[in-house]
Amino acid sequence: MDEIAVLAALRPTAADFPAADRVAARQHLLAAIAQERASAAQAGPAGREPTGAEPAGAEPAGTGPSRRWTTRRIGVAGAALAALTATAVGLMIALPGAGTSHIGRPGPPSTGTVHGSAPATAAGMLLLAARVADGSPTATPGPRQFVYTEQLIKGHVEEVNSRTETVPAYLQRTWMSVNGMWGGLARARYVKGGRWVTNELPVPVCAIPRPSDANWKANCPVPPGYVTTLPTTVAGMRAYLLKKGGLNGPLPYRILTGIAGESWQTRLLVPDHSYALMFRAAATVKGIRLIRHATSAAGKPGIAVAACVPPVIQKSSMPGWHGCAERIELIFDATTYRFTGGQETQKGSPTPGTTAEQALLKIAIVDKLGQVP
Amino acid sequence: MRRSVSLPPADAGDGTAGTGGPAERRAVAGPGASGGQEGLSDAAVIEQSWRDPEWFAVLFDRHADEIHRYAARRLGRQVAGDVVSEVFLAAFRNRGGYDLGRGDARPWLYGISAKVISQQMRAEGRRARAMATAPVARPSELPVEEITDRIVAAQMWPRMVSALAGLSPDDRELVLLVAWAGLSYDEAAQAMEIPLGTVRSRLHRTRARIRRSIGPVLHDKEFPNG
Repeated sequence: MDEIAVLAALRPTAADFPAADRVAARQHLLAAIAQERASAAQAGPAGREPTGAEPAGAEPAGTGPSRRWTTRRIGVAGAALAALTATAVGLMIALPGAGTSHIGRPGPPSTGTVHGSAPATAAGMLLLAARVADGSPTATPGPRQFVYTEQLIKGHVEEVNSRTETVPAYLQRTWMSVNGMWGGLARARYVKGGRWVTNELPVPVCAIPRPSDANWKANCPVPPGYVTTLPTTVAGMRAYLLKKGGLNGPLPYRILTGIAGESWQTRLLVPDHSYALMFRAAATVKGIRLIRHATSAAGKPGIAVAACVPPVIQKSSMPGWHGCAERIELIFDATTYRFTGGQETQKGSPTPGTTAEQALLKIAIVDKLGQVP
Repeated sequence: MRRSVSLPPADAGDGTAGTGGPAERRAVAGPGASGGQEGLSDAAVIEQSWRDPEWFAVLFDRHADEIHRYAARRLGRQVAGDVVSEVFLAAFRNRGGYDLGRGDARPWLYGISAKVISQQMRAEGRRARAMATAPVARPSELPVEEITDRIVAAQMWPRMVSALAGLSPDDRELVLLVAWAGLSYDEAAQAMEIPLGTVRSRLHRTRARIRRSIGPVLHDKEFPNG
């Protein structure tokens, strides 16, 4: 045996590459790959700058399969986006709200006044919340991070052996890629038909082309989990939210539905300055109600602004129910006026596939899929 | 009306808790996972990555574990993951200069690893240098089965550490690439970007220095795995 063999015999043992570290290292590489891909796409087929990666005479990276993929991504954007939002990040609504909040009388028209003490009107509450959101330090998440949401689902109705069954309350956790390129996951575990069921829906990693993967093909590109494309004026935001909130129905319902649908309810994180604009836009709408002593589905007290689901809509699906049976609420901390979440409740006949109550419990930025803050 | 609901997604149906695996496993797969990369050499994969950069992930999947083991032995497992990340980022950015005549990319990756480890040592200063010079594991963790071998190894340990510390950085890197990474002389020459003759002469010199440091113990006991 020579000295090198001795040194080899003294070689320290090395543990396996921890899975989490391995995924992180690989994702760093994938980010560099995506960056190069994006640079190539940005330069365009005619004017692409060399990346320095390929030697002289090599086929440019902007041609071949990758170029076709880039082109295709742009082409399928509309349909795929709609498909994904209808499945992976779709909505759950509905049934008997066990909430303890009480809808008050509609508040007066917005005066635009910001109250120094407890708000007396819904508009005042919204403007306070806007001021708080504007003053919040904004930490922009990184493109490789994920928006984590935790929602409480109550009264979800399933069909089991030809009969309906309301499953016990459960949590749904969702991770969505900040820039939409790095996948995501929706996960829920609940009791159905007397046994535990785990439902998971992986969101494809769109940064890696997989034309043979049906999930990738159907859903890419995925909308970014962190929304940065919202209007930047109050008037623009108002018009945008009213459009998103539905073409028909009272303005309070439409604008609050627009806020929920463009943010927490669809598992999206909105920058604080955009939330501020949303609240200011809502403050311009008459008829939003103030709930001074609201309780979130998580049991936390707060102040809420709310709107009833209009009867014309209720009647179409819940005959015989009158009053403000279904409502949408945005809940704020009673002391800081910071937006803490929202919930939507519904009363009516249990229909398979519907949910009684959906409430945002937590929204945060995390580094990895499956990470719980 | 938005009354109907999306969730719950596809029913796993097995009544077991979710693992989060599908999405994460998918993230770990590369183009080759569905593209028949198994028969391709590393050089062919790198050539593919010139056109489709995603192919480079295949190289990561093939060699990341091995590079991690080497980095863990050199710098400790706490920073080994970062080293692997740096190695493959550097390799990806410099893949255009890869010699396609070399089918196995391991020597190239080890060469990059040596540079990253060296940079890491400089960045972390004296403490890191000490760690990189000395093997990380304790003698009790060494891959020796017999108790007598363990005793001998334990006796040898401090002297071997001293011998390694006395080597120049290049000589130490070279001998560790051969002894710990298992590279042949020719592969070590590729990794260090030096002629094969230089490898032979340096290793000859290094062996003599080690022999002087560890002295008679080597000759008193036949080492395991020898």
